[in-house]
Amino acid sequence: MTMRDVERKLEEKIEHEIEHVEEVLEHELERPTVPKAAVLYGDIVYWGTILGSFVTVLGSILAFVTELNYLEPELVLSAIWEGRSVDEVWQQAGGERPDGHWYIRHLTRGDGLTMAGIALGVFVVVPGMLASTWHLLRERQRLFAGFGLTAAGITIAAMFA
Amino acid sequence: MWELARRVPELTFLVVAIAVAYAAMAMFSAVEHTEVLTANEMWLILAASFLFSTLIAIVAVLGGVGGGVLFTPVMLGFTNVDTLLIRSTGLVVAMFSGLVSSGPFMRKGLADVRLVFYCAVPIIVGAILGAKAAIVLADTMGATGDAIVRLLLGGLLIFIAVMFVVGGSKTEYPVPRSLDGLSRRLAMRSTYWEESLAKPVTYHANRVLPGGLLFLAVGFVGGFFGLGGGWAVVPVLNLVMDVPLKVAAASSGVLLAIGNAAAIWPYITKGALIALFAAPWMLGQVVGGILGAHILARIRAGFVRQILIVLLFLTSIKLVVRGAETLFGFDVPLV
Repeated sequence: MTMRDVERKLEEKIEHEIEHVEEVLEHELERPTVPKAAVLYGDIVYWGTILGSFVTVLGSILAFVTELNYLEPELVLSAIWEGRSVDEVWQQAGGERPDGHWYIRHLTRGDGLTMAGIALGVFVVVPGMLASTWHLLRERQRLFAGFGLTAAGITIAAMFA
Repeated sequence: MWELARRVPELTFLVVAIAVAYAAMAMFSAVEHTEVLTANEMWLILAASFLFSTLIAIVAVLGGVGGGVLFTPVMLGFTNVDTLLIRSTGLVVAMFSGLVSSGPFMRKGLADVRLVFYCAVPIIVGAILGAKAAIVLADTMGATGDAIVRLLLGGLLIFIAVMFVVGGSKTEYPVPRSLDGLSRRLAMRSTYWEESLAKPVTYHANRVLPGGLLFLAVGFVGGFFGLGGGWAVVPVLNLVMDVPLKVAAASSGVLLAIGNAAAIWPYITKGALIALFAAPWMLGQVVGGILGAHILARIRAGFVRQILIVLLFLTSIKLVVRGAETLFGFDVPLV
């Protein structure tokens, strides 16, 4: 192989590499922007879930290391482990089976705060959907904003049904 | 691991907080012994629940299903815990890994918000109806209702496991031959950046009406059994609606979180979700969900899927036997 052959091969290789880089750069320029409505939903739900988790951790500590509880934790856990029904668990642990958001009235108690943490984690999808819907409306995506609003509405209705 | 701890500081803080919490619960416990459990056993149950939940979340994320599909059958098959409590906690397990993965998936543009909102409506309606039906069945039929649930769930699990075995025909980038009228009118067309190809991929959701009807059924089954619906959402999006596999998987988690968030409220307001029992399962899902999403790229997902199939088959046998024993009054030894 002569020096010229080597040079020619190197030139071809460099040209090929440049073409490849140009192609990648071209595609990079085509990288689609993520819709703001999606980012809003994702961020609200992610951080809301993390916040709900910390509240649940705090509630669990309160429930186990203090006597500040709506239901007695030892009786609750024993009844569950024994296979008692939901009604029996509530009765055995010293409360009436609730009908509504009982934990809101017991936020200073361990089990109330634990339940509030879980409920907060579940609830965050509603503000997430509403914020995302608002942004879809601003982008004139009325139909999908309607779907988002309907989904949020049904979830809110389920909270109070 | 250190890299992950540095990149996701909120995960590190949460893990430290949980570790401190369980240490404090062990050292300064104010809980008394009962005839059924000692205070140490109660702590052990909660700590083991957290660890088991973390493991389930990792396997579920790697296997591409919701955690409920493992939690609910295992608990129904192998513990005495009331079926209604298991199903309500199962929804917590099914939704929380999906909730925490919503952020990264949405930020990367992998989950399509318009597709999610369209599918959310039928899945929410179905899930609420399923949850209500579960509560009515538990309140009216007692032990017979429990046995029927175990038997039906055993059958459903066999179906899901078979679906995993024969479901290898999923298409990574489906191209619809023709779009139906409604799909064309809704114009659910979107583009996402495909890292593995280093280029954008455009897709158009097709057959949106049958897809929507299927989501109504998936929501009902998920809400009724406390399974979530991860096992069915990805196939419906990919095989029926022609959505690329990666978008289907990412949208599935987000969609499940929305559907289960609605289904769980009837359980919460009727006292069928007990906070102390559900808390370690919820925390395990959050930690495991974030971990699973980050190790997904480094592990062979196919291997995890095989483990999942074996687990589903074994659990389904146990469920069918337990349901049949109660319903028909016979005893099967060794199972």
